[in-house]
Amino acid sequence: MTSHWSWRQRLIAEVVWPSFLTACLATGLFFAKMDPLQLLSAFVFQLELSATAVYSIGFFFFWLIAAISSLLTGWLIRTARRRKDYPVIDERET
Amino acid sequence: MVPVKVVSPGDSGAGQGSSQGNGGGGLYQKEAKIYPREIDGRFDRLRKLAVVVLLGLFYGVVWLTWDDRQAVLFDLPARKFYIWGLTLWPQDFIYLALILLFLALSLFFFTAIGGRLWCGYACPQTVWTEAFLLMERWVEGKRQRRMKLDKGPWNANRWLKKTAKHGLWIIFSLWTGMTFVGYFMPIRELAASMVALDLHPLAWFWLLFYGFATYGNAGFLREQVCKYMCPYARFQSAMFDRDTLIISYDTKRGEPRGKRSRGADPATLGLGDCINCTMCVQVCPTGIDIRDGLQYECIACAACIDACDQVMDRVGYPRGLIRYATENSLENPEEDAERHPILRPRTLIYGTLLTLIAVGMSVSLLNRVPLRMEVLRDRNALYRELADGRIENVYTLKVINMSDQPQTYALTVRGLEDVSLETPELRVPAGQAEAFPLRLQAPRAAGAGSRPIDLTLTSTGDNPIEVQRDSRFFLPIGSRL
Repeated sequence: MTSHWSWRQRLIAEVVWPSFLTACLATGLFFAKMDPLQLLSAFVFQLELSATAVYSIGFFFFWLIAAISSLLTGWLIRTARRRKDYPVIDERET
Repeated sequence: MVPVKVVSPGDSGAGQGSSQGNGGGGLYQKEAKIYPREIDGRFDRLRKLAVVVLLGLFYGVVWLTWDDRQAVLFDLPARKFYIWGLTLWPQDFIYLALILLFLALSLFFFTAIGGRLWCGYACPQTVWTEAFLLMERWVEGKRQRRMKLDKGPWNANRWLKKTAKHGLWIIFSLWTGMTFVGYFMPIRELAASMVALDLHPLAWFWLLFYGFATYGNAGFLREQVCKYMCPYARFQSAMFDRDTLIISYDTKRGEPRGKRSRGADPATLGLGDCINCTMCVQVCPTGIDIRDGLQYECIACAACIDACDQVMDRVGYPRGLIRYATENSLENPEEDAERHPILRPRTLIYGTLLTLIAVGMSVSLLNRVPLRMEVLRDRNALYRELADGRIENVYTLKVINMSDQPQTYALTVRGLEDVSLETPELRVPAGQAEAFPLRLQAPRAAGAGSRPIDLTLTSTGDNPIEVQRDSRFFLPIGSRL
C-alpha cells in the first residue's frame, strides 16, 4: 500500500501481470482446439494426469514462458543506453 | 485523442503534502501510505450500488440451477460450457471469440462516451477493493482513526483490530476462491467436499490461488494495480476525444485558487471559485490532484466530484467545479455550455460494429443446428474388393448430439449409383459424441478413381434436423487384371 513503488516492485509487477494476462489468452486459445487427454496420449511415455491437471500445467507453462519474455523485454528497456531524443528514465539513478 | 498529463507527485497540489503525508520531497518515497478520506455523495452511492449488483451476480449466479444442473458451469474436463439453456462445445469457439470481441468493443464504446466508466464502477479491481475498504472501515473506523491506529503502538487494541480485519478479509477471499472454482466444478459438490475435507488437491490449489490473488489485490495492492499494472490505463487516451465526458476541474472557473474568509466576494479578491481546501486531493484513492488535469492515474471514481460538490454547497457556490465534462465544453463554456454530442463518428462506428456482432451472434445462435458430423476415411486402405465384385470403402463417422435429448439418426449417401451402406444404429445420448464404423459399397461400374460423395445425417424424431458433409469414394483405376 505504498503510494509509489520502487523500480524492483515495478519490475515484478511488469513481469508478472502482463504475462498472466497473456497466459490466460494462450490457455484459452490452445485448449479450445486441443483436448488435454488427446494431448497426453501424444506423449511417448505414459502420464497419468487428469484433464484438470493438464489445463493447470498448461496455464502455468504459458505463464512461465510469457514471464521470461516480459523479463527480457523489461531488462532490455532498462539497460538501454540513454539518449537525449529517447529518454528512458531509470529510477535507480534518481 | 486527449493528451494525458504525467504529473509527478512532487509538483501536485499545495495541500497534498500535509494532508496525505506523502510529501513534496523525494520522487520515490516508499513508505507513504494513502488513506483516502471517506466521502458520501451521488457517485459514491452509484459505485456502492454497482458493487452490490456485480458482486451479487458473481457470488449468486453460481448457485442457480437450470434443468437439474448448475445454470452457469464451465465444465472443462468434459469440454462443455453451460450457460442457462445454451451448451457450448469446443466447436463453438467462434461464439466465445465473438463474445470477447463484443466486450472489448463495448469497453471502447463506453470509454469514448463517458471516459473510464469501467474503472470507476465495474472493474473487478475497483469492486473488490471497495468491498475490502468497507470491511476495513467497519473494523478500524474512519480515516483519522485508521491513521492513528497505524501510528500507535502494537497494543492489544491494535492487535485485535488488525486480526479482525485480516480474518474478515481471509474469510471473504476464501469464499471468493470457492465461488471462482464453483464456476468450473459444480459448487454444491464442491461445498460438500470442502465440508467433508475430501476436496481434490487441484480444486484446493485453485481455490487458494484465486483467494490469495483477491486478498493481495484488494487488500494491499489496490490502486497500485491501476497505476503500475493496468494496460488499459495507458491506452485510454487513444479512445478519448474532445467530446468524451471525463472528470475535469473547471480551470477557467476555479483559478486563481485561494483561501478566503466566509462570505467574501471572490471577484473583488481576484480569486476563482476554488477555495483550495484540498478535499479533492484527500479523497483521491490514487493520490493525484485532479486540478492538474487529466492524468493516467485517475481511475474515474468521481470521489473528487462528490467532495467538491459538498464544499461548494457549504460555501454557497454552484456545484460542478469538478464534474464530468468534455474538453470542448470546458474550453468554450459560452457556446452551448454542456454540449456533448453522443452521436459522432467514433461512437457511431463502435455502435454499428457492436450491433452487427450482437445481431449476427443472436441469429447464428438461434439457427444453430444441435448436430455435428465428421467423416474420416479409413487410413489403411483406399478400397477393398468384395467376393461379389462390389467395391467397399470404410469410414469412421463421428456424430455429436448437441441437443438435450437422446437422438437416433439416419444416413443417406448421394453421388454414386447403386450405393449401399452399412452402419450400426446411429443412436447418440443427449450431449454426447459417438463414433460409428461406416461401410459403403458400390458396383465397380460406378466409376474409376476418386469420386466425390455427399453424406447427409438426419434426425428421426419430430422436427428433423440435418447436417451434410462431403467425402470421397475410391474405386479401382483401369480394367481388371
